[in-house]
Amino acid sequence: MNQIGYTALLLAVMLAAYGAVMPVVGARLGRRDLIQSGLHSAYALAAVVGVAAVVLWIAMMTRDYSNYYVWQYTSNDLNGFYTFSAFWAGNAGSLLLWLLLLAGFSATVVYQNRVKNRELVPYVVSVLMVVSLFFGLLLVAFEGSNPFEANPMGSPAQGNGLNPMLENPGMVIHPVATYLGYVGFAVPFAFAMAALITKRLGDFWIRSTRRWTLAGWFFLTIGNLVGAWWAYVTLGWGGFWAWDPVENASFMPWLTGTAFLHSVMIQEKKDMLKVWNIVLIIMTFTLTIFGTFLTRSGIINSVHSFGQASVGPYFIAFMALTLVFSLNLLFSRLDLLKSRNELDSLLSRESSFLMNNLLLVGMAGTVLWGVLWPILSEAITGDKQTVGPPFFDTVIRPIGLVFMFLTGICPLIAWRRATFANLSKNFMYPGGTAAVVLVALLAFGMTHVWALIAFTLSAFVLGTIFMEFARGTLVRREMTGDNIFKAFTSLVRRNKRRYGGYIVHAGVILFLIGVTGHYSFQEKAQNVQLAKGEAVTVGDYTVTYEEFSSFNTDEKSVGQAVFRLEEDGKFLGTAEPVREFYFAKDQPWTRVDRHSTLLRDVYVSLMEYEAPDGATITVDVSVNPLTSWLWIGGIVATLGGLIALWPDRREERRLAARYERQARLHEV
Amino acid sequence: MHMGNKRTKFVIGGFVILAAIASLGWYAMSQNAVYYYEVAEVMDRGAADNVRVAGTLVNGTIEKGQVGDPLKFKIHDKADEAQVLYVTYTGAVPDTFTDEPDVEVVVEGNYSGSGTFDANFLLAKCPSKYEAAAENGEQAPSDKQ
Repeated sequence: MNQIGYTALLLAVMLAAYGAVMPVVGARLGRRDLIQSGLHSAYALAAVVGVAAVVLWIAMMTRDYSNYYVWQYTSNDLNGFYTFSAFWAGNAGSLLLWLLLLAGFSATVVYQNRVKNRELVPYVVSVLMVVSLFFGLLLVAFEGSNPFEANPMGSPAQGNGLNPMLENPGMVIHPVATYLGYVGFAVPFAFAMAALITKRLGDFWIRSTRRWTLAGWFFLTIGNLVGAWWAYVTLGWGGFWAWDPVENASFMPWLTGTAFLHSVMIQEKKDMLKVWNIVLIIMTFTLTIFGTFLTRSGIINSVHSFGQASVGPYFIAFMALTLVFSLNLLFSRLDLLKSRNELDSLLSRESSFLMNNLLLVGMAGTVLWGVLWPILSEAITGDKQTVGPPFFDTVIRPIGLVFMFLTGICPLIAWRRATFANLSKNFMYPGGTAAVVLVALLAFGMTHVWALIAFTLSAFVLGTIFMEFARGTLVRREMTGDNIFKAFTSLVRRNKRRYGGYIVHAGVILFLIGVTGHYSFQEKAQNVQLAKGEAVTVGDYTVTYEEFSSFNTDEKSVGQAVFRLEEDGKFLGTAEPVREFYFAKDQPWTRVDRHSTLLRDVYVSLMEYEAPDGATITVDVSVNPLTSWLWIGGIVATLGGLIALWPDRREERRLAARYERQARLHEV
Repeated sequence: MHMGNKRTKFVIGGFVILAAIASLGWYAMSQNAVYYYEVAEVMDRGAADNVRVAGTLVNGTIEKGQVGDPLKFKIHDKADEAQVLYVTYTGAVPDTFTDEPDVEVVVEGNYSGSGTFDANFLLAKCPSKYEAAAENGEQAPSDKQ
């Protein structure tokens, strides 16, 4: 089995090399047959990588412990669901997943463009194949990166087993979604490079990749959200985001990808920001590679501690090559990228989009600065310094609030030059709503300044979104005579991208309401020792230690404490956190329990207990206000993203018409 | 001329925003950066408050008394095993902190200047079983197939 898998990977490397070279050679020589052969290698690549992946999955399902990777991450008692996801539990499998997704996407690009974009596609595929080649080489050439390595222990009867922290539905989704996002951005990057190479620098590359960009953003968003949810429900420290280097790794491309997603609209509508868009997609793509590098190289300690140092230098070399190649190409084409329109007024949609872009890139830049500071400070001063969550909080909070404000402004402010009439028409009611919310919060005695600003801005933005839906629906009802509900659905259906986008905005705001509540008003009691019958009080909540049970199995010892939760003396329910200890892996695992409502979570984790009867225990208890809104916001944003992504016939027809016009233009 | 003025306006606006972000970053950095040393370095420099130190766990030195007692252990310098720091830590112990060979440990807190370290933050990174086994010479990893 190992042989088959490894051979498939070797074939994949050869096919990627062929596909990287042949389409370009064909395009340069004007040989259609060579181009076709090169493009078809994308299908072959997808097939052989698919074979490699299936072989690995079969080896995992059949517990073929002669495969070292299988031995490392599965064991006889692992259930089918997590056996499936053990595929990407380690370094080698994660790299294979990258390659699998990239090969699949490349084949899809070739298929989608089999009759269109003839000039661009050879270069697009060549760029994608170079990326595939890089990942393919990592997989076959490095010890510890090859998922088909033979087990040095031969073929043991039992495997080492999956890390219990990864036995969670979140860890099935998070890596795949994050990688789908990363790889999704490779497609617009490849189109941008192809546009530069072929000097076809209209908005064609952007329109052709609009869906890829949206999909990449959509999946990266889900990946980040699920990662945060997983951290919250499994890590047991009461938070969902720790500015861990690897969290930052997937946050940075999300920031620049968000900027790209928005600024391409300006190019589509106004033919502006052409250079900026290419810079953004170069940044985003490089950051996806950087993100993979941070996770895989083990350069910085973090919760993703399975990194491996030996592939690090190659990642750096690949990123450097990518930057040198793409920026050099961009500079050589600068004269072809002149905008046809100029920015006019600071009070306009163009400039508010530009400002939103600057803030996003500024946030990405400061996060990058923080991540790299240990390395930079050592290089500059000779002393290594590091920054933690307070640094990121200090920087991101104010920028994030301005960004929130712009989320309300951008979609509604007039193009080119906003007039007073336009501003008052769009922003009077939302502004009024925000003022009412502010007064109400002050009246309730809220004094936390950041929270007051954040909640007021949230009300403002949600107000603008509501107005947009209401106004559109009423106009539509007037026009068609339909009832409100029908008018509303057809409004959304007729402009999915726009209204889907608004729903995403609403989701983001709900998420930020959760962030604000959690960070501003969290109350904690840490390291509390309790004997049975004793209680700890956090805010209005009393947590009483009532019972304890423990048992051992062959693989682990399990201790569970039962707590009685009360709010102002009123019984709420029980919390039953667990602490397990896995003998074979010599690893403890804390399973938190929480009592969750829309207003707050009571979050209890059992940190240690006196075996076997739990006469005394140590617990961490926190009350996390509004934390549920993180996940509600996430679900709303996901739904909005789905609406924006939903296939749209009218949009397809419009695009097809443009392709035809373009094609005719080139024939003339 | 008119166009030029407009452009200038936006370039200046952009710079103002970026400068604001940069100064915010600078301020946050000056407030929050902590020094990050190896065990030998921090011992060489003497007493220091609020520093981060990386080292390797000395096996068999983890002491944990009753529930609620602080955790005590020793870490040595990654390069020089003779340089040992005696760490006392109160707080949640990460699940990755186990008494295995070559566990990399990062602690943050105050160094007394005389070999003891009072930590308020603890991070541990386990080497995989594979590497540990290989380094113990139990079974060297075979060649790639």
